[in-house]
Amino acid sequence: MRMCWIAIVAVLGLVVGPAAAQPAPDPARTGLGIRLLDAPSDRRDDPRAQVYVVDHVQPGAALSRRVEVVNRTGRAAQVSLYPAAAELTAGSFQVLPGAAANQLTGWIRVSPATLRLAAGASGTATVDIAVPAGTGGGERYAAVMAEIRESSSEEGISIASRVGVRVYLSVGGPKEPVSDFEITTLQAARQPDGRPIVTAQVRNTGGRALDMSGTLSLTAGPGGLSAGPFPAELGTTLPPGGSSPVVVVLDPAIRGGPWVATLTLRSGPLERAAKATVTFPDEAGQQAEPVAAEQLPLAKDPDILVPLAGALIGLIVAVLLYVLYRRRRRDRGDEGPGAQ
Amino acid sequence: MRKALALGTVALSLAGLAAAAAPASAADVTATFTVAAGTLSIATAATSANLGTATTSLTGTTVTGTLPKVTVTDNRGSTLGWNSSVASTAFTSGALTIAASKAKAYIVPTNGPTLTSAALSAVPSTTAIDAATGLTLGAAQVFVTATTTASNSVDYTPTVQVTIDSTVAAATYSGTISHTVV
Repeated sequence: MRMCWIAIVAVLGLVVGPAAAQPAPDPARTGLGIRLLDAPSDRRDDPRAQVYVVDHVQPGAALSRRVEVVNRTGRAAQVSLYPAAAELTAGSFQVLPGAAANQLTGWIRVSPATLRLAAGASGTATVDIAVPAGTGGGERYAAVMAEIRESSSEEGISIASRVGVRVYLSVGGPKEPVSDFEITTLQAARQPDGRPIVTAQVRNTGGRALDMSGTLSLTAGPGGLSAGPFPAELGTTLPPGGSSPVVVVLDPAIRGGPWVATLTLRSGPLERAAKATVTFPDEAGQQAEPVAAEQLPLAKDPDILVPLAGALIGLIVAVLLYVLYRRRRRDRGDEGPGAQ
Repeated sequence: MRKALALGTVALSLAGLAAAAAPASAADVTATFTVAAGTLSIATAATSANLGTATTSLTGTTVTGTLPKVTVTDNRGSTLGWNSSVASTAFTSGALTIAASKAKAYIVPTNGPTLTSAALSAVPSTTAIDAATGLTLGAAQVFVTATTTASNSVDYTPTVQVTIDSTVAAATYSGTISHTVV
């Protein structure tokens, strides 16, 4: 256990470097931008918690986050900041129009409510979420919106634009509901434009919403061919108990079958894999029957993999230190006064 | 030297234990750390639009126009993607009103969505609502979904069609159309 933790410290150090360097250089005019500045320390390994407000609290608890708003519209702007209600419908996280309210938006206070930003300037706002005591359990959704709405000329259509940080807040007992999902079926099809796709049915069997991402690989195809990995299309958000398709678009060169399709999906640190044998129809617009997917063992479960990798890195560090120590001792032995 | 090495190990182990202990007490006071990700942004080419003019008729008519180009830039460097939606207020002229549900939005294929830059070379395109299905502006519905991983920038120019029923009085109507990205 001790070894594991040493290694986790080391792994974090390694990961932070490339992640910070990753964002692409900003073009000058990206308009109104927003980003989350704080994430909870206990969700360091959850990529969702670094982009969205994802948390679990008990009734009566409060939490606070900061967001940064950036004005790259090329002119001074007055930015309104407010919470807006959101719903998970049709497999998507959808923000309702305007400053729509729900129970969660009633608990959120964004201060300041207005930021006046010069061209190119940025400002910080605090998002305080206070959950009243006696609140029932369950997960609730909202978004912290930054909006520019200019009252334009007397006639015509005004265009408002707003961008937000999603809030997934779970309320309940001291223990957070477990997140889990299963891939139930895989279905091969050929789109009207001729591209083959695999549609996976995914069911959220846990107590928290999931944002799906992942890849599909094809193996053991005609003539022993392999293909992929192909990225799954993003944007599928599943509420607890919900079921929704996740689509993977493949290369047009892929034909026939049978292929062994292995789909690996993840939401935050959670990862699940399943495989099924699929055959792609030849005609555009056709689809094969859905095939029941076989769940694969969690060889890539972060709960197993991270400590394992950790132990390995810890061992390497220990060996290196020992070698270094031996060498220094030998060097000292050769040159130091002790040699005389 | 041996002692120093031992101390180093103990210090690291303590740091590990502290990290392990943190989640247990997180229910009351959540410790946070600073995130280094970039921003999710939206830009519109103009802040107003004119959808055009229609002549009222007994059988009703429609007016169709394009909105200013929308650019969504995701520099967060995450694998989570984004979605954009579009909604409208009712169109009014004094006491006269055309409901937002009379308007629908879509994107003609030549107007996007176009992936203008991405951190990865091979990426799937974005998906959007086409003219056939359209999207009523009276409710929240996802308009464009980024199916691209990593940082990306996407352009699209929406088209809006408003149905002018025979009961609509001739006037110049105005309203606000909002683009939302999360």
